[in-house]
Amino acid sequence: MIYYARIFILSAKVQMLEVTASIFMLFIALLQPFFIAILAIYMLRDQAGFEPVYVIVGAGLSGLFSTILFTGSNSVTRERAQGNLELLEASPAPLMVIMGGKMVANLALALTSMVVTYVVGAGMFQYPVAVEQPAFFAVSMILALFSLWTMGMLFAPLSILWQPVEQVLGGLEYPVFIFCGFLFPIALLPGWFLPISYALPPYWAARSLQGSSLGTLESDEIVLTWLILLATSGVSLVAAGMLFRIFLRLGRRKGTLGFI
Amino acid sequence: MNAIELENIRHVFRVTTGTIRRRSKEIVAVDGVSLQIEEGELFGLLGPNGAGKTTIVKILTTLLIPTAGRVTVLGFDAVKDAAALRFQVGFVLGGDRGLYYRLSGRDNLRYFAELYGIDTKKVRSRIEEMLELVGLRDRADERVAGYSRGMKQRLHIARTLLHDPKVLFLDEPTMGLDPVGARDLREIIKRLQSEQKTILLTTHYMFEADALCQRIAILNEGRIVAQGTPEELKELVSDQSVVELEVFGAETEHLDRLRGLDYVDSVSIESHDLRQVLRVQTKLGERAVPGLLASLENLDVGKVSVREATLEDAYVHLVGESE
Amino acid sequence: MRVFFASAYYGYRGLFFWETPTVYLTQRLLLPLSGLAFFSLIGKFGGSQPLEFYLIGNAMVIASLSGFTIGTAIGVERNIGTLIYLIGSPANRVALFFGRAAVHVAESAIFVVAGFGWAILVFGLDLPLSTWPGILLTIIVGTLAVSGLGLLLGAVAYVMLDAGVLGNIVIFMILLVSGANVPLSELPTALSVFGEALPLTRSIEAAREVAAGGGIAASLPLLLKDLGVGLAYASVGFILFSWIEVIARRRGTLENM
Repeated sequence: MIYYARIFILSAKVQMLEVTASIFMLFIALLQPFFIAILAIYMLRDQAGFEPVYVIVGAGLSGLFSTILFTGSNSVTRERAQGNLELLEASPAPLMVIMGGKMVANLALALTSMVVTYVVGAGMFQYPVAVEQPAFFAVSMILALFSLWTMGMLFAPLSILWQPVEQVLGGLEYPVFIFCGFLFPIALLPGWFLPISYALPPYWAARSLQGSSLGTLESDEIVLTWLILLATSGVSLVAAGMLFRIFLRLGRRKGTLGFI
Repeated sequence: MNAIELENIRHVFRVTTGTIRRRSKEIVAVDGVSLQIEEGELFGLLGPNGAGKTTIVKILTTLLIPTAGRVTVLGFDAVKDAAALRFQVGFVLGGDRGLYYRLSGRDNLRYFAELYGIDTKKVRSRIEEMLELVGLRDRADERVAGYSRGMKQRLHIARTLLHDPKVLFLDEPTMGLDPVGARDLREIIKRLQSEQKTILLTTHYMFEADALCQRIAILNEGRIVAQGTPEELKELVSDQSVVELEVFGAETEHLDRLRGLDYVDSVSIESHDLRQVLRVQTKLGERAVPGLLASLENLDVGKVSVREATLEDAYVHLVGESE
Repeated sequence: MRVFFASAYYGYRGLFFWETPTVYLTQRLLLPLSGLAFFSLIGKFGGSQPLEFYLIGNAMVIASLSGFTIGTAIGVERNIGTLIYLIGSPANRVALFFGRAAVHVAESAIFVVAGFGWAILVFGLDLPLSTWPGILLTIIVGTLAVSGLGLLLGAVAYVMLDAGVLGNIVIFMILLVSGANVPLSELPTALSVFGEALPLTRSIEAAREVAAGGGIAASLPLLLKDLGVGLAYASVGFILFSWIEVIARRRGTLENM
């Protein structure tokens, strides 16, 4: 157990150096949510009952998700490109534990998206930004981060067998923003899309974060949202574990751990 | 006792080509290889590029699951007991990839020390010991990005020795190194061998295998074409001599003419700038020289020498033969 | 002329060799169409303009794809080290440079058309048949204008920065200040001036006028201006490219570029 914990922590440290050196990842984590926040504020500010905090949280979540999407699906690819993937897999440490640690570093980078959008709202536009239910918000944030971590774990093993997965997953950015209702309510979508939204952990993360910052959710509603968020995250973590096992085995059969 | 056993290993890769009309074809990388390597032995796997050396090393290090056959290392099945086996073996794949360039050499080692679960109290001293062994102590705190090729390779060796593996796989470790770097590395390999580690070394440098290995297997197109001690392999060509002729402007027709002589076993050619060196294997020794010169009559011939066949000639003989 | 076509054909094929069909469609179709949906839905949720405004604006933004792909293509050329051989060739510089852009323009225009199709089919954009020729013209002009900027990006990517990141920044700038999502009049002066200076801004305006039944002739001045802006960027790009060539030859740093 201690062995796993140490690998986990050290992998996070190593990844921290790697991920902050990538201009592209910095763009995704910092600049893209910056633009999306400004754009959404300009688009929505004349709306009756406009809530800056809704945009700040929504745009921040878009940055959090995009960063996890790109760093998560890139983490295996990047190790392979550097020739490290084989060394990691051949070591006795489970690759999933190593990737788990790396995902924590990715999460730390992703969290800066929230900071950026806060600065845009409270700093650039001088909106008074306050959260209605701070305690609920804090719990929601922790659970949201956990759920994003599980999603990153789900993206990581996909590129063990097929490298282009990274670019294909990149195309899922906007669809996820849409289905999770980051910047508009999903009630705008046709009704038969709702099951897709309900199946996505970030939808529940957005709901609990935006609900607690606006104070629009009753406590029993928010607790229910947390439970569903935990359940959907649990499902993606279990799926991630299975993918790691199956894909690593197939990867060893086909020899995709070195080059593709 | 055998440290490594390969039983009828076969590995087939599927390769797809074309974007729209996708065709897939099978490439047999390893085709029925069996090998036994004893504990404490330094064994050489020799062969041209694409012979299947790296595939075999990857199978032995649990990174590839063979299409067919059985692999055991130290009694562990490399497919079923992969997790347990990984603590026992170390490996270096040639080239300068496989390091974290943004980390210092020492941090690279620290990371892998954790991955291999080395006792926390011993990590520091073990890393120092390894840095000392490979002579990187002075530069250990610099980023790997600034290391020379030879330093990266020595760091690889240090990394793979951290957990004191009983079996080592070195896949073309001297590839791309300058002569001094390669010699240093061979010294390290010799030292490891004296510590009773089982080492499988792949290379396509003949003299390297000759200088280091106790036994050698020659691999060509996925099959073992010969196996034995360097002396035994030399024995295959012991009745042969090699006539080396320095010539200028030799063409295919000259080679063909030499090959047509009944006392010539094989001819190879090596080009240096303007001149070329023809190596003719023959049982006649110096008695063959007048005949050879006669068949090259219209060619400028420089130095001519006759020597005994070496391991390299045996290799050319074997690999050339099965083509 | 041969240099132009060869440069177009091989420049395109040689640099996008790694793209599988799935990746290609993701980047050219899924990404722009879902982006269109995302920003249009934000507009529908609380924007000051009718839905058509956002649909037409974001469909036109897809034209910026050409600027992005041209920029990255030239950037890749630097990474794989083929630049030195291009510079070393006797080929006409203008044809070489503009040939690179040709295929990307045609390709992007097709995907803008797809964007309009998507807006019509999924979001019920009402575009009478009589407006189609005019819309098609604005699409072609808009794409040409952005690719002028793409050539400049490519030249900048030779010397500095990751072309992909640079292209992404430009796409977001266009989303913000071109009037695609926020009318220029509602932006602070600094941003609206910046919007005027970017290509595509006038083509978007023209597309909205044409869609409202304004006729092609009325929007011609706008389109001509947009072409002019695009050409200005392309010329700066070409000058920068020639300058890089001279400097690189003088310093002998071609290999590192």
